[in-house]
Amino acid sequence: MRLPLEGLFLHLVRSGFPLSVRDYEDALVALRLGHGTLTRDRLQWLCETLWVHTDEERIRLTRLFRDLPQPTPEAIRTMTGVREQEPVAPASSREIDKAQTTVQHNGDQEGDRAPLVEFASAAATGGVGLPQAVVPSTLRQSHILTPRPSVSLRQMIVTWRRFRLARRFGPKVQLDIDATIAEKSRCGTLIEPVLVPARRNQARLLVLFDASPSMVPWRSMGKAVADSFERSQLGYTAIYYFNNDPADDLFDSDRLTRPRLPQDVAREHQGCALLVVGDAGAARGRTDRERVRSTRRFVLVAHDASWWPIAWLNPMPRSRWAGSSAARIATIPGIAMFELTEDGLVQAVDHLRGKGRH
Amino acid sequence: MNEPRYTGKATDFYLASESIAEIVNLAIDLKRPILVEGEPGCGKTMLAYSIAAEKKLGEVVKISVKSSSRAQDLLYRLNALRRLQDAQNPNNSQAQYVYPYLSLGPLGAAIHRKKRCVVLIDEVDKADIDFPNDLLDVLDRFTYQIDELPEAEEQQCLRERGFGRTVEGNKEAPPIVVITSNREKRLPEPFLRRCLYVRVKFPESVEELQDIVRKNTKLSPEALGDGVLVAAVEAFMRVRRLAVGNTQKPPSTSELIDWVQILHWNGETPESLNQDPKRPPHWGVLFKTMADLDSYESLSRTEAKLD
Repeated sequence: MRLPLEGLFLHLVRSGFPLSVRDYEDALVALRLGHGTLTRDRLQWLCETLWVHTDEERIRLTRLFRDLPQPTPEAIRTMTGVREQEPVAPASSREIDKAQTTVQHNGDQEGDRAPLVEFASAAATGGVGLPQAVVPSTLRQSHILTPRPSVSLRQMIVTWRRFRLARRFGPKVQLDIDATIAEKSRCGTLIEPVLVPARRNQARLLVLFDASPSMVPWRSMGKAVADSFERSQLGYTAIYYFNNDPADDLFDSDRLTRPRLPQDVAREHQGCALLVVGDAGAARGRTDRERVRSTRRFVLVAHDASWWPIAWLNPMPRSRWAGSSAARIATIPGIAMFELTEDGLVQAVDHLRGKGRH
Repeated sequence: MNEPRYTGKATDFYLASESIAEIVNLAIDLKRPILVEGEPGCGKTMLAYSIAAEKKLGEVVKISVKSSSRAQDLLYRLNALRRLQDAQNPNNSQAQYVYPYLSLGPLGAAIHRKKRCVVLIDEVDKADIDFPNDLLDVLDRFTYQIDELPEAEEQQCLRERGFGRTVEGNKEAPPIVVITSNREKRLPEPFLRRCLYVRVKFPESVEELQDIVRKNTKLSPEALGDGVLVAAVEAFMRVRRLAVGNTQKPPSTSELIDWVQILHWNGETPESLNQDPKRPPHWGVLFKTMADLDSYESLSRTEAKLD
């Protein structure tokens, strides 16, 4: 005999819900204690409360409950055993399979239509939004488009923590054992322990982020980088935005407002390691000689400001750099270009702390 | 264990919606922590106090998280500095042992007591990124190890202090753990998955807000007339509607309660409250920062011109 909710649970696990057996056991305990029984809505509430943690998962679960057929009275009797009147949601995988087939079938019917695309307005960030598929209304399905940065916020924070330059700084809070012993030997007795400031990370990092139209798909990345700084434990961080070419004006905001002269920024943030995030022309896929020349000049400006070393993260895959300005910029002496992936970020940080292969 | 179910309505200082009460009961039954989120000032912390009061579980063990908080400090501390100082005194034989210098932290003591209580971990998002994950195992099993206690001293520590290297809580009725977060930082995924999530929403109905004000200000209908209260709540909602999206921290229930108290002390009337709809008397009390005060000031003036 199948256990209650087994089919639903397995279906969710197969479709990527990060659930463990423990989550399933909790649901069984909750059912036994009377939570989420009696109606299908209550059961959906229980599954949502226990198993759903993001809006995306919520939509998927709601859709699943909506699409699944009502269970037959026999199925209810088999599953619940005791409560015959209880219309528990379908739990057998056979029913789920059936429901999937139905949805698939509907999808096939709509398959002949050309996919529609619209530019949804991205009010929150301004500018032209990302192209999004328009779902034919007959399907009654909302598509879940959740923007995710190529590197998760957590991974970014963890990676910044590799970038360390520890120096003793601030209030004296740590015990200096050697000095304490020396003091005791000198005085014969220990009056008070000798304290020293704790080691703190004094690494300085300046990030220049390309906020030009070709970087729109990675715009959320800029915000994630700025957010990650708060928890990075780096000694000093700053982020500025530029439009295609970092040698031009730098901006305080990713909407490219509030311009700052590169010389002013250079004066303010002297001695920082520099991380540039931009496609370097790889998104458009052509070589712009002037852009390459300008970037060369930028390296000299960076050198004068003691922004050293320089790592460049490119969100376009390495295979797309060839034949574009990116390939040339990657070879400029003093610039080490990496792909904007988790590994690439680690390599870039290793380069910034002087351990890179470049 | 026959504890009364939590209804969210039995205390004289807090009102929880039915859906929140259901999640609280589910979390208690499953022995899982409750993660409470919501805008500042809408009663996240009070939920813990209301659970403790309604279930008659005594004082809430409140742990205010700081940016320097470490998970281990919540369980136990070893006062090594004191031991070092004691070791200087040849007459003090205590310093040869570790256990006299161990003390249990608030969560550690709550687990050790074995008596059901409510533990409130307030503003968990203030702490370091690893803090929630470090707590995960303890909140899961309500058991922890004191590695600093040498095995040779375990029996003596058990006799004199009542705990050994392994401290186990009451498996049947572990502490009810309520964790609040202001969403300043995103919490780690495994931690989110272990908690049952409660979102405390701002009450949108005038009646509900009236109830909240009455319960919290303890002002009887004789002291604060219904007319004034309704006018105050309506004026507050007008201010809040304008402030949401335009200020960093729109006024919430805690500001409303303070404001009504001030209105009462100043003897305001429904007429005085409705004189200037967008700028009721003492409206400045509703905002917490100079920037919010300035933006509301200019917004309300613009709105008044448009009206």
